[in-house]
Amino acid sequence: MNAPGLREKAAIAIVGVVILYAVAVAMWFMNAESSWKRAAKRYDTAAGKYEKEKKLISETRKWDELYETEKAAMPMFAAGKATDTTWRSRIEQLAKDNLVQIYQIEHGKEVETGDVLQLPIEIKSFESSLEALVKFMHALDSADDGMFDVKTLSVKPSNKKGYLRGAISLTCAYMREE
Amino acid sequence: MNKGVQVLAFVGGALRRLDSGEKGREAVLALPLSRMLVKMVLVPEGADPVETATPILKAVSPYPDEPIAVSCETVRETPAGRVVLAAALPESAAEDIAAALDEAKLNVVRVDSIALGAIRGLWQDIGIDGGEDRKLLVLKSPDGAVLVVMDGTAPSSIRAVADGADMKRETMFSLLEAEDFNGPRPLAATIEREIDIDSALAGVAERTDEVGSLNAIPDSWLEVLEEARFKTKLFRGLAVAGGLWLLAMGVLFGVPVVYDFRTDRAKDQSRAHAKAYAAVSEKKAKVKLVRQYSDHARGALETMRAVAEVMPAGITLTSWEFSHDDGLRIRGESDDTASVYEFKDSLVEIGGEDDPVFKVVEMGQIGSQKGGKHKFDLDCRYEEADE
Repeated sequence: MNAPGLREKAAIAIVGVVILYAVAVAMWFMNAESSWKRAAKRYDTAAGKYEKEKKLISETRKWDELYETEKAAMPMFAAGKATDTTWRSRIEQLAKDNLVQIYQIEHGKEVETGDVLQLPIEIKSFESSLEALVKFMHALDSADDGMFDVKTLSVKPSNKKGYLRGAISLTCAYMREE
Repeated sequence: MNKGVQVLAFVGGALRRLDSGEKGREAVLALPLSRMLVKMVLVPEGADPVETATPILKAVSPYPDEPIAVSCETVRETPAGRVVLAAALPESAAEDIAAALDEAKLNVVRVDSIALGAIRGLWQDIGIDGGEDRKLLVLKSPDGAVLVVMDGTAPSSIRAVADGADMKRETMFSLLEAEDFNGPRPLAATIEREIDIDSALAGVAERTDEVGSLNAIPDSWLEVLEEARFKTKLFRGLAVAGGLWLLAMGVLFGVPVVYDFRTDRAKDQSRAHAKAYAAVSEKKAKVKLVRQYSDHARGALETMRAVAEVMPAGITLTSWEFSHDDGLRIRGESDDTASVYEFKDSLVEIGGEDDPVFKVVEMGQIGSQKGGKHKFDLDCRYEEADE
C-alpha cells in the first residue's frame, strides 16, 4: 500500500484534532461540572470559616468587655472554699420564704468551665401551690447573691388539692478568687 | 516585495544573500545567465508568448527531453509583434542549486537573472538616459561574462559567454541578434563592468515588485513551494487548534487546582490565626455561659408566663415538663378539641413570626375519656440557634 501523502496526513491530523476537541468537550461535560463544584464548595467552606474567624477576632475587644461586665455580677468565693452548703441552704431558704416544700434535694459535682464554676443541684421532690412555685422561681431569677439557672422543671397535680408536685434541676454559677 | 522574502544569488557555487534584514523561508533567487536558457523571441500578434518561446528554448536546451517551465518578459512592442525575453531553468542544470537551497532550508518563489538585476543597478552608471542609442554591455562575473545589447532601456540581445569563448565572435552574434529584433543601428558605446552582486540583488528585488517581470522557476520547485506553504499553513492551523485545545484542557483541569490552591491558602490563614481565634472563642463561650444565668428571657418562669397568657379557657394542664435546652412538653385535658387546636396555634405564635419562642410545636394524639374530656399532649421545641 502506498504511504499517505501530505494531504492525507493533513486530513488525518485534522480528524485527530477534531477528535481531541470532542474528547475534551465530552470530558468537560462529564467531569468538569462536578469537579468544579466540589472544588468551589471546598474553597467556599474554607474561605467562609476563615472570614468567620477573622470577624470574631476583630470583635476581641467587644467580647473582652462583655465578659468583664458579666463577670462583675458573678458571686465570688475564696479559693478552696466549699460552696455546696452555701448554695443548698440559700435555695432551701428561698423555697421556705416562698412556701415551697422541698422533700428531697441533692447536689452534683462542681463543673469547671474556664474560670466559671457550676454546681448542679437537684430538687428531686417538692410540693407547692402554683402561686408559690412562681414566686420561688422568680426569687431564683432575681437573687442578688447568686446566679441560678433552672435547667428542667417537671410538675404534676399533687394528691393534695390545689397543689403541685414535681422536680427541679438547676445550676448555680460562681467564680473563685485566684 | 512580500515581507519575509529574502533575495539571494547563486554565485561561485554558493548562495549569497542581500542583507535586507529579511529572515523568512522564502526567497527570490538570482542566477548567472549561464545557468539559464535565455533567448529573445518575437511573438506574433495574437500568439501566446510561452507557447511560442518553449520550442525555441527546448531547441537550445542541453536536456531536450526534460520539460521546462518558460517565463516571458515583454521587452518591446514592434509592428511585427512583441519581442519578449524568454527564460527557463532546466532542473537538471540546477541540482547543485537545489541542494544548496535545501541545505539553507529555503523555498524559491521566483527565479531571475543576476545580469538583469545588475543592469538595473548600473542604470545611471552606464548612461542610459531614455535615448535609443545602441550600447553593448559586457558584464563580467566569476561565473562568466554576459553580453547585453541595449537599445535605450530595453535589451535587444542578451547572451552568456563561457570562459575561453571567442569574445569578438560572441559580440558579433549579439549585435546581429539585436539587428534581428530591433533593426540595424550604429553601436554608440561599449561598456564593461564587473557585476557587483549586492547592487545586482537590489536590482532583482526591484524587479520582483514589477508586474510581468521574468520568473524562470521550474515547475517542480513551484510544487515544493506550494507544498511548503501548505505545510506552513497546516502546522499553523494545527498549532492554533492545539493551543486552543491545551488552553481548554488547562482551564478544565486548572480551575479545580486553582480552587484547591486557594482553599489551602485559606486553611493556612486559618491556622495562622488559630491561637487568637481560640482565645476569642473561649471568651465568647464564657459570656454565653454567664448569660444563661443572667438572661431569663427563655427561662422556666418566662416560658410559664408566656404559655399561661395564651392558654384558652377550658384547658386544664396535667403535666408540665420544661427543659432549658430543648423546650416544653405539656399534657392536659380539654372540654373540646377546638380549644386544643386553638392552644396549639397560640403556642406557635408566641414571640411573633420573626422571633418565635418555639420553632416547632407538635401535637400528639387527642384521646377522649369518660366525662367528655379530651386528653392531649403538645411538644414545643426551641431549636435555638448557636449564637
